[in-house]
Amino acid sequence: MKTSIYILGVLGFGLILLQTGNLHAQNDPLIGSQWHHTNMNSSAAWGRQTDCRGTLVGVFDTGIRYSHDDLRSNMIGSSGLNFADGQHGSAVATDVQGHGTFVAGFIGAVGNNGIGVTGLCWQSAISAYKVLADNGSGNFSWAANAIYAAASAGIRVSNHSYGANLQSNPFAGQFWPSILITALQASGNSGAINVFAAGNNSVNLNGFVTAGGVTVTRVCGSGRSRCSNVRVTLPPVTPTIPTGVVVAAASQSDRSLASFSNYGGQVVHLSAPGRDVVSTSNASNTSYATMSGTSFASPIVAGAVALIWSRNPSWTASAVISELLNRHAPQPVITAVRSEWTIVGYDTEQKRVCVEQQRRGRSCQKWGYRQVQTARYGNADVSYTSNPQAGKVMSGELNLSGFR
Amino acid sequence: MLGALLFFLNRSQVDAELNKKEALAETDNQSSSSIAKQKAELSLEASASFQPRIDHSKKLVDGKRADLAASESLDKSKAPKIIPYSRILNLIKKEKLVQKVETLTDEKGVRSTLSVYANGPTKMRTTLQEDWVEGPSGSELIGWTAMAADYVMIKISGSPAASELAGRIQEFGAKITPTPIPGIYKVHFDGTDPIRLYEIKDNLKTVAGVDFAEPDYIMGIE
Repeated sequence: MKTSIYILGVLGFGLILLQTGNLHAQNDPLIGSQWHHTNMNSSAAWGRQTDCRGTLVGVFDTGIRYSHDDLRSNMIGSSGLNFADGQHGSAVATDVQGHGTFVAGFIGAVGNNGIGVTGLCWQSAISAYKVLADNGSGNFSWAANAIYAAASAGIRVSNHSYGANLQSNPFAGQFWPSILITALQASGNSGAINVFAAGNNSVNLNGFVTAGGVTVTRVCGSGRSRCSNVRVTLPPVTPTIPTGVVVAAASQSDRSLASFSNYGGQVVHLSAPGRDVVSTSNASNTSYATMSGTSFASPIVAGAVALIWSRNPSWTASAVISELLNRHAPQPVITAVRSEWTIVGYDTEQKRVCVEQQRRGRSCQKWGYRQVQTARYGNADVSYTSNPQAGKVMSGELNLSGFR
Repeated sequence: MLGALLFFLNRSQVDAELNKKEALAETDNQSSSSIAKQKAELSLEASASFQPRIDHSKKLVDGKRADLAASESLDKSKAPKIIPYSRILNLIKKEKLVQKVETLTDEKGVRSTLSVYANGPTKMRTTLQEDWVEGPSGSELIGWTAMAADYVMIKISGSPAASELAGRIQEFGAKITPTPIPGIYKVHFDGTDPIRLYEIKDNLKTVAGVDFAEPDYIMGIE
C-alpha cells in the first residue's frame, strides 16, 4: 500500500513537472528566471520538438559571441558574416555591443545542458549576419545586402531586431525603406520567413503607415539670396508588408502590451514577451543578463517559427506563418488602447477600439478615454488622454499550447 | 488529498530549485548588481509620443482654441516625453557640423532643420533632419531622421531609363556604382549641401524605370 502511494506520488509529481515544463529543461539553472517560457507554455512545444537544426536561422544584428558556453554548439562555423561598415560578408567573430548575443540566446541557447538559460530551440543552426556596427547603428543598405546574401545561403528563418526612428515618418508611409522591402521581397520569394521587432517608440504604427512622408525642396526667386527651403508633405501610400514577414510587439509578464512597444494591426502581427527577459550576455562566455525591448520579443517569435518549421519540414513559409498566427497567437492584434497624445475631438482611434471590443462581445464603456491635459503644438491642438485600462489589455501574445 | 500532497511535494521541489538557481545566479560572472546596472543602461525607454493631426474645423481665439484656453498650462510631469533622444541622435550630434539649413514652416506648423555632420554613427558623412513645432514652452522636437549625406539608393528596372538616368547623373556631377543586389545602385554626389540630397532623390524618382530613389537611412537596435 505504501509502495502504491509512493508510485502514485512519483507519477503525479512527474505529471505536474511535465505540465510546468520543468521535466523538459530542469537542469538549466536559469530557466526559472525565464518567465517567458512559462507564459508562452514552451514546454508544450518541447514535448514534441526541441531540435531545429533542420531549419537554418539567421540573426541580423551586432554579431554573436560564438564562444559563449550556452551558444557555441548551436552556431554554424566559427564566425558570422559582417555586412556592417560597408563590408560584404567578411568573417567576423565578435559581438562588441552585445545586443546580438542576447537576441541569439532566445532562439538557440542550448537546452538542458546544465548551464544558464534555455532557448526555444535546444539544438539549432544559427548564423550571425552583422548589420549593425559596434555602436549599435547601421545603414539599411547593410541589412538589405545581408538579407539578399542570406536568401542565397539557404537561411529559412531570420530575426531582425533593428529599426529607425519613426517620428518623422521617413519612409513615406512604409514601415521600412524601399531598399529593405526589396530585399525582403527577394527573401520571401525564396521561401524564407523574416521576423521583425515592432520598435520601441510607443506609437500606433497604423497612424504612421497611413501618413505621407516629408521632403524638402529649394524654391528660388530671381537670385540665390531669395531662395527658401520649403517643407513638403508627400501623399500617403498603401503600406507594404512583404510576403513572409512577421512583425512582433513586446508583452510583459502579466501578458499585457509593454509600455514601450509599438503596436497597430496594420503592421504588427502578434506580441511575445519582451520586458525584463533573461538571455545570454556577451560580457563573458558564462554571462547572462536581463533586458527589455521589442528586440527580444522578435527572436522569441523567430525561435517559435523555427520550432514549428522543424516539426513540419515539408510546410511552406506561408503554412508556417498561418500556424504561428492562427494557432499560437489567435487573439486580435494589439490596438490603440493606451494613454497617448491625440488631437482634441479626434476620436477615430477611440471609436475603432470600441468597435473592436464590441466585435469581441465586450462593452465599450470601460474603454473610454479621459482627457487630462491639452496643449497647442504647431497649428494643431492636441490633448493628452489617459485610459484606465491602458497597459492592461491582452496583446495577442504568442502561446505554444497545442503545438503539433 | 493525494493531489494536495503531490502539489506540496512539487512546490517544495520548485522552491528548492529556485533557491538553487538564485545561488547559482549570484555566483555567476555577473553579480546581481552588475546585471541591474546593465539593465538600467540598456532597458529601453518607455515613452509615449504622438503624431499631430490637424483639425481645421475648430475656430481659434487669439491663436488658441477657446475651449482649450483654460487648460493650456501643460503639466509637464504628466506629459509624455514626446521624442526620445536616442543614442544615435546623440552620436550624430557629437560630430563636427558642416552645414545647417532651415525650412519654412509648413501648413501644419512644422519646420525642419537639415544638418550635415562630417561623420556619423555609421562612419560616414551624415544628414540629420529634425522636425520642430512651437509648443507651450517653445520649440519642441517632434521627430528626426538620419541618413547618409552624400549618396542615395536607387532601384532600376528595365533599360529605357539608362540614357535619361545617365544624363541626370551627369547633370548633378554624380556617379553611379552597383551594389550586391541586382538592380540596386548607389548614386554618389557632394553632400555638403543638405538640400542637394532631397533634390537629387526627388529628381531621380521621376526618371522612367527608376522604381525608387531614397536616402540610405540610419537604423539602430530596438
